[in-house]
Amino acid sequence: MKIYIVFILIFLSFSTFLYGQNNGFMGKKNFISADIRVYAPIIYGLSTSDANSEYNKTEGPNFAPKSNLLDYGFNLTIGRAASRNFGLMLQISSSRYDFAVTDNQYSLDASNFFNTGDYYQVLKINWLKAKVTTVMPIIEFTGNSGLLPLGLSHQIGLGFSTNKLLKDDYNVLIADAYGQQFIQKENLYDYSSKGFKSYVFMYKINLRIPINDYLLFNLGFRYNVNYYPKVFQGLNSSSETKYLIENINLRDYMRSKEFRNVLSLETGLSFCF
Amino acid sequence: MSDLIQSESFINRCDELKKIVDDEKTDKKLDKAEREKIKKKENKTDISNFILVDPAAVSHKKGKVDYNVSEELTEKFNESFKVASEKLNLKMQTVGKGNLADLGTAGFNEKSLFTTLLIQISNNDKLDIFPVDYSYLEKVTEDFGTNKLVFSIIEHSYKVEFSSTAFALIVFPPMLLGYLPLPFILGNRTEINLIVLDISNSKITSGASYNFREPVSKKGIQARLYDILSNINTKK
Repeated sequence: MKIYIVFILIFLSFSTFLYGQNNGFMGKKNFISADIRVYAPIIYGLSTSDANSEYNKTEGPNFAPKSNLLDYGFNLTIGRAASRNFGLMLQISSSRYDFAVTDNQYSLDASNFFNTGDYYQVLKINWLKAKVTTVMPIIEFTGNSGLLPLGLSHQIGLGFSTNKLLKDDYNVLIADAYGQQFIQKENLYDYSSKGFKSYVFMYKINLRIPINDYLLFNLGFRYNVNYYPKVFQGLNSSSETKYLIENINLRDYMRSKEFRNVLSLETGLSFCF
Repeated sequence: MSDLIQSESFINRCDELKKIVDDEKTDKKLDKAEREKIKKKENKTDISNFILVDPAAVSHKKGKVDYNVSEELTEKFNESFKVASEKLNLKMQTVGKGNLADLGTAGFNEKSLFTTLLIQISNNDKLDIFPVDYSYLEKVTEDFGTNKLVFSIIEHSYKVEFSSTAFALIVFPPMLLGYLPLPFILGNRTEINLIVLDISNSKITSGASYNFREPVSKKGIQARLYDILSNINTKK
């Protein structure tokens, strides 16, 4: 072992730091990545009073509990290592999540939907499902010794998202002014309507480990901050509405879920060429 | 005195020193990027045919050398050199660990000779040295068909270090949750050092010091060596 110590000292005295031209991964600088994204809505679950509660699933006429342990998504990314330690990427991602319509009494007034002159109140709604599609340009950078697309890197992205409610067999429990309760399943939402826009800022620490001469295994932790600009939608208090969920300010509930989606795990494969 | 001033050897030496002074003046005028560019150019050498001398690997665990893992890492390192040089069409001949059984006593002597030369150079790096066994070196150079020796060593360690200040994030648990995976990802530290020694003038002509933080794997080492050898080699 002594000879190794001697060698190390010799190497350190003679070696110059070599960060020359960018050879990429075995000469390949472009890559396409496909990753799955998984996140556990722990913070949302803890901070939402109705999370994991009876609002989630309908069993016959009753609303039965069901937990929301994981949300997931899929990313497709194309990128190029512009230099040894700087790269550019464009990412299209799609993910889905469940969210609760919680106990905001004002939002849950359904009188306009029935338009009979009587008061109707939404008592319970199943958890709703939403799909978010994001387009995001990303910059990727490493320290001095980087060799993109290989190895440990940092990514920062600012993207644009569209959140849409997914079609499903939702149940809404409604009570009229006389205390009669019934389940409404029809005309809940206009699924052809435009989604809600939001902006996403993302930081990710990512590791790419080579599998063979073309494929890299990706593993990363992604931190998100979502911003939903204000929109005037829902809370239509003066006129008849065609769909029941139009009366509910979906944007706030979606924002509430996405805002708590801070950390997610992403893993997948990159093909280099 | 006038004889001395007019002598060819004196004039040549004067020119050499003048050039060094001029180069230093020019070097001071250059910005960092230009200096690096020149340095990279100077760091290049022809290694289309080279002798890899006893590539070494050391793996540390809990502050001590892990001999079993070091042995496995040496094999990976040897194999990676072969693959990287093949991909770059470089002719590589190995002397040292892994093939001494095949090369026998002659191989052991060659390895010792090269190692001694390196140590001799390291002890006298500012002087022109006269190699210990000059004639034998000449013969070995002819046998191998090259005068370029490559010495390289890889060191790896894995240590998970939690920052004590980061635990202040306990006041905001989501941030602490976000911090927790980072020490595990950043725990790997690998360093590859490589030098190219030219036997013909007993000088170290190129070198590379290179570190990375992904888990050490055969393909990962291959990619890094591909990059190092590609950057050093002048002939593409």
